[in-house]
Amino acid sequence: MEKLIRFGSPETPDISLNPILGRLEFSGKSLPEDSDTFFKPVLAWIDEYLAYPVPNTEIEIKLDYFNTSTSLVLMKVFNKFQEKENVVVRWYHLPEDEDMLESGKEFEVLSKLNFEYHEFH
Amino acid sequence: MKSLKSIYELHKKLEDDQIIIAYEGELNPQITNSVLTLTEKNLDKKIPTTQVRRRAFHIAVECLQNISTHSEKIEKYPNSIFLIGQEGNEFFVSSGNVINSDKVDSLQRRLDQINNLDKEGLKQLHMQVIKESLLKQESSNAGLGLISIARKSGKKIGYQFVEMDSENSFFSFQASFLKEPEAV
Repeated sequence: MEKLIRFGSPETPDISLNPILGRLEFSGKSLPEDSDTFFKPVLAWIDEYLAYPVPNTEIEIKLDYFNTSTSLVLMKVFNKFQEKENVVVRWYHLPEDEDMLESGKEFEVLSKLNFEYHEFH
Repeated sequence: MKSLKSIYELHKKLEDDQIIIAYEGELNPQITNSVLTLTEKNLDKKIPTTQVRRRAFHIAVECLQNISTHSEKIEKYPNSIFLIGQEGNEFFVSSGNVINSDKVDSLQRRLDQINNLDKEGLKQLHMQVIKESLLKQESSNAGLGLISIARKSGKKIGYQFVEMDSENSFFSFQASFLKEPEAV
């Protein structure tokens, strides 16, 4: 299975999905108007990955900003890992960005996945 | 020819009203992105507090994308208006666009529902709508943008509908928020 790498733009995030490390990283900004279309390859990649996942999967969300359309996609990503073992979501936020921290806590409640919170600078 | 004086008058009015950005015209996804790039630059200059600047940007994104995604292209009235300004201790994001009059009732119900909720109620509604959108597998986010705007604003959303003709109405929208940061 191949890695999936996408470089960000002013409206879209950097994406790095690595099947060998079991690491899914999203960073930068995400505000595409049509997030479904933009993230379609990501969701397809996850389906393929979940057929043969490595023992530990890490989902790293280091977003500076995301729109509501992206929040629905993030929820779809988390839902795919529901009832899977050994999945951790590392949710990053800037120290002064309490809204981002709160968003993470809401996703934690909605997805019931194991979330860890970290600051980034 | 348009009176040259009116250019100065419009400029003066926008300055006096302390407008941070104003756009009048068509809003498609491409133009929306350009307006957002400009908005972000201007907000960087005018709003020093990170959290308040982020909230302003968030409200601007949702407001513009709501118009661009949901406004059915009405040929007769292709243009929308979008502005960010300040008054007293508040910033405001305002927009106006033409919608089909048969959408007025449902939009008004959604806005009233949002305006009647407190902070915790909005949080619960936000999470509920996310859950429901996923179950329905629908890409339209059924008011999620509006709920999210209300949460970032921390104030009631202002809105008004003006009938333009037998089929169309003008939808004016305004979300304001305090200049000084406080927990929303």
